[in-house]
Amino acid sequence: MMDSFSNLFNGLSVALQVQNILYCFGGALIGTLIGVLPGLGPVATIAILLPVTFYLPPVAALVMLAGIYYGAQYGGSTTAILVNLPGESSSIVTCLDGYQMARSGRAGPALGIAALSSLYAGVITVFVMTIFATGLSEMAMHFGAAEYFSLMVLGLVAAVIMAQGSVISALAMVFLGLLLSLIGTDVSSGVQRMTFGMFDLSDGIDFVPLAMGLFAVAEIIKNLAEPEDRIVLKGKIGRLLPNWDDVRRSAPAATRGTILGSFLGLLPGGGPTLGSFAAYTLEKRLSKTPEKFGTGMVEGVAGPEAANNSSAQTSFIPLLTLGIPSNPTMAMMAGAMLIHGIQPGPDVMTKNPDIFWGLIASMLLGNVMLVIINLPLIGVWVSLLKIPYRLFYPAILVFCCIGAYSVNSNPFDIVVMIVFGFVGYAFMKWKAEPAPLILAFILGPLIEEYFRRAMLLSQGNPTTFISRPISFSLLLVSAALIGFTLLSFFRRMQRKEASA
Amino acid sequence: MRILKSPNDLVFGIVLIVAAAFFYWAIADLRVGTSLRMGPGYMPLVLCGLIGVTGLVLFGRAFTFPGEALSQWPLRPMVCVLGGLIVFALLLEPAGLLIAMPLLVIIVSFGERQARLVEVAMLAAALTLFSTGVFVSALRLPIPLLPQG
Repeated sequence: MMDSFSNLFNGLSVALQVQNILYCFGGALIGTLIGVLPGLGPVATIAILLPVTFYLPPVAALVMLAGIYYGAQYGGSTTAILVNLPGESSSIVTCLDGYQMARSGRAGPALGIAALSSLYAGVITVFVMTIFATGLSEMAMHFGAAEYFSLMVLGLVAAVIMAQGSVISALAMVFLGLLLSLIGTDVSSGVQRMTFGMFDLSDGIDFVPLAMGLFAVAEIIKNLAEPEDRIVLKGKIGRLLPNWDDVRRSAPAATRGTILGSFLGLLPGGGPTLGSFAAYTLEKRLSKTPEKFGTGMVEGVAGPEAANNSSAQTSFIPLLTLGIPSNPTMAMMAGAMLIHGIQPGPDVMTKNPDIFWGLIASMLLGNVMLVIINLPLIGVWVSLLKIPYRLFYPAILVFCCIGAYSVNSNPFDIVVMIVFGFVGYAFMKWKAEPAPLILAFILGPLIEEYFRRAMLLSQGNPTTFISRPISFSLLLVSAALIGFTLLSFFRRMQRKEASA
Repeated sequence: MRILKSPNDLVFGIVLIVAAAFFYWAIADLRVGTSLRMGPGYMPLVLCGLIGVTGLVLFGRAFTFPGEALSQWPLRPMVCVLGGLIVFALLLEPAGLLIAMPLLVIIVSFGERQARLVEVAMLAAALTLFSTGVFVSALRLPIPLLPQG
């Protein structure tokens, strides 16, 4: 335990190097920007910036990309409160009470509470991460091929259940993602798979243009097809500092949000969106006046805002200690680490302690910077919201094109992006969410590899997955999750039939 | 009572079944092997099967549970956005960034109904200038600027 904290202290000395401070600030700034702007999320942004980070030292690159992710949680709430549009999916619930506070002339305190709850959560979560990280990476040392396989299955099952829309379409997305990840040369036999004789496909599809297509291009087509009204709240924001009553009511809500959020961020398939929804529900349950939620309750802002920030941070832990990305953004981070030759997993902590602890410690710094970026500079972000979408989306497409081309200096990657932009839009039309696909795409090669290894080790005996206790319990949880979802589905059907 | 209850599920289901069949055709020649010694075709075969099954389930669901109706494909945004990107992909290496990027910005901008020519031209100039300055000059990404001859 004490060891962990001295490690964190060493990490802080890495994070406080001038270069890393600058990149942390850059990440926080970009994160706030994309958080404020609806229609551009962290996944697409990290995909765009990946080719650029190739030229940075690994610590600086990861510190910056992480800043984008939790910075987006801050920025997202600004749009939610002032425009009643979620800047990110994790700030959907902040619209409910945040916007109502703004309408009743309390926009300033709402923004203040959102930022301060996030800061509070961010700082506490760094210490939570410090404790969990060491434990989990010790546990990971006992993991064999069967455990890794089962853990990834659990991650995919969780992604399916968390996805909006029907379970069956989410399953289809997972299988498609896995299949797409196998395109290219098979590692163990050297045979070309599904390359259709195209040389450009022999290394497989790159995940950067894939993510850009699914998350940026498809989103732009959707936004152009269904333009949304963006009415920025008129009138003064007023003083940002909350009054004593706000603080008294927010502090316990933010604490509960932090605890819940940091736990949900650790789960495979979890993350800020889940965290914020759960925190809102919790606050409503615990409140003595649940009927007042949706009319501008400050607890409904503090809880979810604390939760989304803390789960954004803790979702780094499964990636850094087990090598399993738990959501699409973490899948992009895994890609960033691989570009720098760092294999995500339990070795990161022992082989690259500077990167591991530097990244975690940089979050302390980043959160403080974010409060400064978000509160005194709020006017800048409000004026950004007034830029019409027609000037904004061509810029995103320009950055996507440059980013996709720069991965391999090959225009073929732009073609991949176009194809998945089209496919991604079709999926949106068919009510299938792309998040499970990209997660499966990243995990696909690993799943095949670990399955192969586990089978070889057990001499082709499939019971290896259930005879090993850790693997068995992971699969049991997966099965329970599926069973639970099916059960609630049938219940809903019965109720519908009864009422019809 | 209509027989087809969810046209959306029907289309998605058929697409998945076709995709499964298409990929099966692509991997049919690969050696499948056994669970102990998995060949390169093992995983793809399993996945094609699973995709086909999800397609069939959606197909069946389209006739049992009510769902979404089909909506129009937005022709203008699709043609402009995807078309602009295709033009860029085709022109970047032969013609260079200074020609491909303004074209990209101009074509995609007309995906929005309110696009005005002067505004679009200024945006194209600004983004090209920015990209040349930041990505090519400052970050030194290997992107051709001028036609290769």
